[in-house]
Amino acid sequence: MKQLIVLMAVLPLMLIFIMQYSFEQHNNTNIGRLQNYIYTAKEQAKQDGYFTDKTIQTLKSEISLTFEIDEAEVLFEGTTVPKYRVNQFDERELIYYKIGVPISKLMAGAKLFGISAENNKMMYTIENYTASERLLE
Amino acid sequence: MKIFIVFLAILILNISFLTYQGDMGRYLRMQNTVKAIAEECGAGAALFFDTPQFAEGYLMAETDEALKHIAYILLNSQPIHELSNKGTLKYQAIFFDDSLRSRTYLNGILQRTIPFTFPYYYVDDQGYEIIVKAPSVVVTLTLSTEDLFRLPFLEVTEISRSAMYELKAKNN
Repeated sequence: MKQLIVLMAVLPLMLIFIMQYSFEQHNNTNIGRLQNYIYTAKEQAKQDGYFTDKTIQTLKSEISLTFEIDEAEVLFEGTTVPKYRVNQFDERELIYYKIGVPISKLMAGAKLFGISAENNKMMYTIENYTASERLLE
Repeated sequence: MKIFIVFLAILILNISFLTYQGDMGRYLRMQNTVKAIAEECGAGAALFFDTPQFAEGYLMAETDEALKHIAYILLNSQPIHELSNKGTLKYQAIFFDDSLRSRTYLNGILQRTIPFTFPYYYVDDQGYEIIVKAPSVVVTLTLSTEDLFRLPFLEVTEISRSAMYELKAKNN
């Protein structure tokens, strides 16, 4: 009987570890995919000279599907007017992007440890500039 | 008591594995980020070349402009800039062009100039080998920071990734 009581106490604690492995794996895989999506969108933006509506929409839709979130939750700030390839460095002709995705469920058993849903999430953000390869027409 | 000791051992093992898994995930993400930024630096730097020389059929890198681009990217890339504040970030840029003298810059300062001819067998500081067949820019970023692994028996304090951007000119 004593051992059964101990098992009942220990089992939830051990299950949390198993869940946490899955959460970590899931989040790491998703962040890897996010980096690939952003890389692809950035390469497209380099060719177009800016983030076109189509590029932004594709990016948001891929992120939304992978992270199972609403497209409106994806943070996107970036250059949406054409920038051109220049022969001398000019920061005004760089394409800017800042893309953020909310990642919830960072920790398993959050309620058990008294962690609120607000504290159990983070915003993963990538921010950078890239050079435009669009030529002046 | 025996059960308690076994439980404690399993608990420590689980915590160690979780810590390792979390740190390894962060390490791999940082490697990807450093690689992506190195590629961005290389691709952007390769865009600047001497246009009058290009009209003559020679592709000569405008190293000053290229270095300005690299410095700007490194200053404004997150999370790299934030991480570099906790440690140091070094960048090495090597230009191979039709001047047939490779120029190596470390943090924007010219380190050495070496004569070469295409194709050129190049080995970098980490021992990676590549044959340079056309005008190219190689950018290597080295981020030194605090220990990336919290477990006492693992220590990684440096991430170094390279990217090469090649411009194939007609005369090559």
